[in-house]
Amino acid sequence: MRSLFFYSKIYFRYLSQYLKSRLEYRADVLIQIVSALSAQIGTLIFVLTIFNHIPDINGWSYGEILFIYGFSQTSMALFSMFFSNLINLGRLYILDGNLDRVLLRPLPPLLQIIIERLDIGSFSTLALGFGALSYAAVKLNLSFSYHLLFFFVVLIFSAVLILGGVVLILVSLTFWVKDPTGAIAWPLMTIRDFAKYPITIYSAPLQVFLSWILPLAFTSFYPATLFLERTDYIFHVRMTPLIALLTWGIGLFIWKRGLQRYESAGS
Amino acid sequence: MALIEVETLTKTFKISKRREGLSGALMNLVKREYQFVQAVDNISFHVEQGETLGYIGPNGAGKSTTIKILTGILTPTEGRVEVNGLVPHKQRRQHVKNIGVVFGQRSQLWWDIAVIEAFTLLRDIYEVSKNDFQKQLKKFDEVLEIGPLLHIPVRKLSLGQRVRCDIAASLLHNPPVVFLDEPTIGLDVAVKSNIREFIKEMNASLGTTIILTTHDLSDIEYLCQRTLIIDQGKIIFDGDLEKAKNELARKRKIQIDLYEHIDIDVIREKLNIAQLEFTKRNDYSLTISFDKNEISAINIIQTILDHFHPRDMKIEEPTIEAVVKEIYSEDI
Repeated sequence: MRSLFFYSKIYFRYLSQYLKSRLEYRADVLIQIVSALSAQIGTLIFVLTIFNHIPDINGWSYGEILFIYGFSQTSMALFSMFFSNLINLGRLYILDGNLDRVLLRPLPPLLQIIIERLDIGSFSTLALGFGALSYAAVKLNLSFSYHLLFFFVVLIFSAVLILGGVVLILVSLTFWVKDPTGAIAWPLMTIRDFAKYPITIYSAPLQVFLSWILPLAFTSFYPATLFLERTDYIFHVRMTPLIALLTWGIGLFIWKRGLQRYESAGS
Repeated sequence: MALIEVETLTKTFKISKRREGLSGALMNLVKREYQFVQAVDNISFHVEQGETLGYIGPNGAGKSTTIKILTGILTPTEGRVEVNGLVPHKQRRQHVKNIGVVFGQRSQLWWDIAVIEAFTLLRDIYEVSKNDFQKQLKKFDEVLEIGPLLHIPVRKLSLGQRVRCDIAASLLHNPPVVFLDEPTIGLDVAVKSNIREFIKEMNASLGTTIILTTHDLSDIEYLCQRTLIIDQGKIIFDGDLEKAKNELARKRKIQIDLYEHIDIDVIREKLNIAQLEFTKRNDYSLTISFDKNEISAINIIQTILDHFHPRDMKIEEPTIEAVVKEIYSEDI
């Protein structure tokens, strides 16, 4: 397909431009990587310490919790890496009028916004998240057949899309509710920490909230259970790609409606 | 069918009324009052292929809003817009391939990368062939002198350099319609004339249709055969501003310096024409204002020569600024 080829080419062109522009500020890139890495190592030490003292929580073993944690961090890191600019959509693009520039180019506007920035610092989150995941898998003696590997890719992909879709829904609201601080997306940044642990440790209303209102449990806990050979959540595992499509569908709908209300900025 | 068709176009913005002070700001949180502002109010016009259209008006008149609707950035509240047979906000991606847009106030280039990198990225986005790209670069370098700037990051360019690069960037894909929103704002005389020359050249050699908004009326005088004036969202003038200067600015002034003491009553008696306005500048100098369609300047001068001893006389031609001011004030 020509357009697919065209878009991948444009994607890599943007990416290389972005990297070039970042390398203009070498010290800044270094600081970003080091600080992200130390923050990640800090969290990991904290988690490992806690788990070492509590051999199991609510029927979930140390290895299982680490696997869920790793799954959550992996999807989170991939989300930040590729979709981090979505968080700036409200303030930087809609309110400051940078969307003008984006709308003047013959490319889908969301695609342009997403590919204008790549969060390099997330590489360290990804490395540690994936490291935790693999370590847990080895410790638990999990077997990964080819079709499980395929499901793993599909589920991680879905989890990343869910995070992106939820952020898209929230920031698209900026077209209606002027939000100069970007505060709309803040609760998500805090609540997403809940998704790092087995959802069963929370009260029932919170479980419903994390599953069906802000579906963060579908970005970590539910898909992870497939590999932990827990069959109680197979329905939720199957729902994961559907939830991903649904959140993006709703996000795109709100975004498109909002775009008609776009007011630009000043002259 | 005209290249650009605008029919009964209206754009309404909803603006919340802000109260003053901190207590007012807190009140705003609780209860908000809105008001509707018609930035563009039921305007219609057509632009033919190859025209250079000036689009002027005071700040906040609705110029930029119109441009943003025509370029597909904003969705109109009511009315019909078509450019090159496409509806900008609906067929946006196809539409923007046909247009080039320059906002003098805001760069469209990526801040941190060198100019040439931005150009090649745009080349790939617009799918311009390498051959055409080189040709375009060469052409831009000849008039806009961008050659030495190509390897400098955009953020390090001066305003004049930046605008020249922005203009080149917006024309790389050779669009048949170009929107220039205050392209000469804040630029020095040399760069300004450089850019004007380039615009004129482009219109003449390629037949590019150009819509130009500006606050500098000499841009309009130099470039535009036709000008739209918009004020408070409404078009109050559509035509040749040079002609308008002759038709609308009927008010002429003659400044007369005499050797003798001036007594206005005596002069008025001698001239014996109603509708003259006298303003005494000092004891030896006065200004007579008149409508040139009703009274000939020669009459006045002849009478003065016959009865007094003038030292100097000066007829003041209206400037284009004065014409525009007059059009604004007639409207209000």
